[in-house]
Amino acid sequence: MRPSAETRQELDLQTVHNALRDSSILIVDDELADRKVLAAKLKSTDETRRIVSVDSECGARKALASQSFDCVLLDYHLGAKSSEALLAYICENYPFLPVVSLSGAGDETKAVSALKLGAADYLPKGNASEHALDRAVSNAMTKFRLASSLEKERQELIAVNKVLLRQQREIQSFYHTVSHELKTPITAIREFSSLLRDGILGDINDSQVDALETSIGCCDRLNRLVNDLFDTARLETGKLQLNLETIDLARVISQEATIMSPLAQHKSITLSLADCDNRIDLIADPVRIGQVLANLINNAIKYTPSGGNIEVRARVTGDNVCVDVEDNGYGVSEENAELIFERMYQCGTEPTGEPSSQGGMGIGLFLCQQIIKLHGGQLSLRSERGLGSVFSFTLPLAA
Amino acid sequence: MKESGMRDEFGKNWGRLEMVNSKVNTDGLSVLVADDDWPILRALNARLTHAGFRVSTVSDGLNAVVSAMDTQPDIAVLDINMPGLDGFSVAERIVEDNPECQILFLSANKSQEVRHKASSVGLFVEKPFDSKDLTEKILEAALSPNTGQGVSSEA
Repeated sequence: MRPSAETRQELDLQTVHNALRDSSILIVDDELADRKVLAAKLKSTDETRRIVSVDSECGARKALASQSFDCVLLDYHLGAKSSEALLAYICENYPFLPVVSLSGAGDETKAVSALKLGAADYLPKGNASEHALDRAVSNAMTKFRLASSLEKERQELIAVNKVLLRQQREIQSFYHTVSHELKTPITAIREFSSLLRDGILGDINDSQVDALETSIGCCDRLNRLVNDLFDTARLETGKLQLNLETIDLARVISQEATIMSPLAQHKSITLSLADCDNRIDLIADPVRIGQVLANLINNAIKYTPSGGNIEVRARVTGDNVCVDVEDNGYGVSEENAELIFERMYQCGTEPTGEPSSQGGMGIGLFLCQQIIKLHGGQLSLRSERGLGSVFSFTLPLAA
Repeated sequence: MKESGMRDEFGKNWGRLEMVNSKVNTDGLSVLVADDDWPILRALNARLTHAGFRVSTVSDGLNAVVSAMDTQPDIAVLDINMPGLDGFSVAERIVEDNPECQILFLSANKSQEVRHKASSVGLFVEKPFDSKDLTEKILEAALSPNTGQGVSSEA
């Protein structure tokens, strides 16, 4: 049940009222009679208030230094002088101590100047009722407490934000180091395998060449994984930038298909292109778009059984081009289709016995989607279990 | 055929110099390779020696500068991320001493900034590199207009 508006208001008032109990109030007034009247009026509305009265700026400074107050009632005139200097002093040194300025009746100009200097409120001294006085003091205290707690929270948030930014920089630099450290041995392994394969370190036979080719292929795969990991870190910090240029998408598609075709052949999968004969000019990052295509084709090969078909095609529709990577493989269930673009997502174990999780880090499709988004396009999936999947992405055409 | 006699700093003689299927006469062209990772250094030494270059290898930036002053290489292949002097500082000093020297940077860092900075001074090859690409890039550097001494084309 929702509390009624009345209950809520009562609760709030109660809280405010309790918070303002036992407050210490400093009265600064050069007239003894006025000090007495003010103290009495303040006590009459809340007997828990502790009142300290002083008659001069000097006395006020001493009182402020010796104990803490919740509110100051400050007469505008202290002897022949105005109390503006004291008001400025309090505002500067006690930013969360509210000051209510008291002025003679009809002295609005002075009251306004006190407000400009930082007073929380003002009251005409002569005819202020105890209720008006109570309200002014209570409101001033509430306002300043809220401001003070907001400021405290703001400072806490600033401190937390600083820590988070530092951690983000540390993580970024950590990823950078890890990526560099991993790539150095990959470079050496790949190069020594190449030296062996090329016969530079001695004669080798065909099956040894074959083994070394596989080894080189694995180095390249490992390198792609390291790149994906690094790209993910850059995406999170908004540091993944595109190198945009005018590209022929049809060419990028056929290049990637050519690179992936040995992998498809190895699984006896037919990889074919459709509608990629004509130039499709658009402004994009060719390396990143190639990465997306390689990823989608590689996935299609992974999740299509031997003897299957994969078709890559491009369709121009209006101001966009839509690229489909279609396979007749295992497909994706409806609930998985929603999760598949999420970072770290991996297909769970499938009851039908077909290969489910095929390794990988679960960031490939996440990266693909983010790269397409950075290009102003969209990546989506249509799939049916047992029938296959179509991954499609759109890209805006060059104007 | 030519005996290289090049020993790397680990004492292994990789020199089995043959000019196999190389269209460019790399004879007499000297390459300085600087990389703080010794397996990469060894592999590059073998690859480039095989391609017919005279190769010297060093494993840090300071030695790269010293060696370059000593041997006046035609091409310097420099890892960017090295302890002490990095590849960029090494390149600066080498070119100051020998403006004819062509620079080729190697790095696992393929960020825009690094790539951009590298290509304003010389050529850039990303690690891990394909040995064919790398050799081609080095030949490209060797054939670029302001060196070219000792290079001839054989059809």
